[in-house]
Amino acid sequence: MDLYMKKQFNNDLININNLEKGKTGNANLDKVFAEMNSTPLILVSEEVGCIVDNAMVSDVTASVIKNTIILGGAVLASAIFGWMYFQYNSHQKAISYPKKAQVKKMIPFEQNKIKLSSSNGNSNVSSEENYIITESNNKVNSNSIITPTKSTNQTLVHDVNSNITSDNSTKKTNAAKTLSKTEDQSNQHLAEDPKKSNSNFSKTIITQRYFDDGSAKMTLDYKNQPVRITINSRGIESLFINSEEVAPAFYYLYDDLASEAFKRAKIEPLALSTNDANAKPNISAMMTGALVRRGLITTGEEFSFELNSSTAILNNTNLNSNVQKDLLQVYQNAFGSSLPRGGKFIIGKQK
Amino acid sequence: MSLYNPLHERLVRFVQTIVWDKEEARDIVSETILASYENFDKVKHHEAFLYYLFTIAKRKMNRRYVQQKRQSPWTDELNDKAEDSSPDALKQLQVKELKDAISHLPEKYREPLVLFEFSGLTIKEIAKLTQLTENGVKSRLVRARQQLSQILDGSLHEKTI
Repeated sequence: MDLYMKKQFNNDLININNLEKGKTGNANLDKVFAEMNSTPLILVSEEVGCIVDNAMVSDVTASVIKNTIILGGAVLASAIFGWMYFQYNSHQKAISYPKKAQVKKMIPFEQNKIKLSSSNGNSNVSSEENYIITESNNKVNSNSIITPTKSTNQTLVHDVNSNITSDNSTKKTNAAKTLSKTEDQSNQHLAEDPKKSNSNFSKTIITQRYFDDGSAKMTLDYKNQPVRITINSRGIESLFINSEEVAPAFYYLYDDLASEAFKRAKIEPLALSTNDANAKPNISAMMTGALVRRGLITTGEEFSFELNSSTAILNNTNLNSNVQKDLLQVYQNAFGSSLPRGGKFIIGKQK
Repeated sequence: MSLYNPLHERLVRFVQTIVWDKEEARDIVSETILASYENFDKVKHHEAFLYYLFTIAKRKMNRRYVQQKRQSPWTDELNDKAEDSSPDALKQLQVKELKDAISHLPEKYREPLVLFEFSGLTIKEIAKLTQLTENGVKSRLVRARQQLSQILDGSLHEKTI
């Protein structure tokens, strides 16, 4: 290190340790620095206050505008969604209202009352029940003797007493409970985990409604198509795929769909799932199937069975009251109306 | 505003010494104040407000500088805009030359010098703001002064003659 550099280094050290504002050791520089520091400010603090105030005002304005837009947007969106929901609902109702329910609704209460009075003399029931009773009474009259089935080769006598009373609404739940408790193999699918359902279906049921007559209507997605299906224990009442009604003759093509519907509605199919529920029911076959599924008899076994409103006798043995109630419900589901009080349902001949 | 008022002069001197154009300097100060006002909630300690304010100002100036560099080169027209309102023509000239000299200093020397000499920040504050050690700031200040003296001595000497 030469002498000049040493001197320079020492000067630097002295300068570093004696740093003061405006005292550089150079008179000219100090003077110019002082001049510079005496120049007026380009922005006084009052102006800054104005800037901040303006910003606050614009902030408030902006937030008011923002809130207004958000609120307006929300109102508009809810109005649109409401309108769409209304449109969707009215569309659904227009297309898929069950025919049976429509008929039920269309029959005026007074008319029912007159019918009932003339046929039974008992008017102490609701309008809905009136209709069902009248209808069932007509059915019973026309179907009171049912021919024996080939499989069992047993005679069936169906007695009907004119003094009819019934209660449809309460027994549906009993039947559902019985179904969930059954241990029969053929009914196990009813208790299956819904998550393991057929992949052709969406997991969500959009609507599912039960009616007093034991039928259920549901809307679901099947192979990405909207499906509306109404079922009861006897099979399919109506089927709409993509808003087009499927004729009963083609129900057999939709076995998986019908099975899924029964599974979801937890309704016991008394015949094939794809059976036309509006066709004439084979009640003895349905009852035999129900007895087999409940483990009371085996398939192909010869048996005698009698069911009335107070007892159920199978092979001369009285069944307990819970089973009897369950079988009454089966009869009601199969026939479409409850067994009349005093009426009997017989398969085979009691020894 | 109670936090800002004591720092007002320091901030304005910092910006107006580095930025030549008066209007632009005003813009930068205003933008800095607004930005600090909008994000004031982020300042956890009141002592940190000084660093927060000067950091915003630095970024604003750097951004402007980069933009101007892209748009147009530095011209004498901008120098003319930097006129001072001082009545004394010689003083005015000296201030202009000082600004010119400061603008020719390297960035690493310019900032500590302006912060120390014109904004009145202490060595400790500058060290914290520039993320240097105090000794590093001191040595940069000394070098900046030396370089500034060399630049100005020649020109001032010429004017005096």
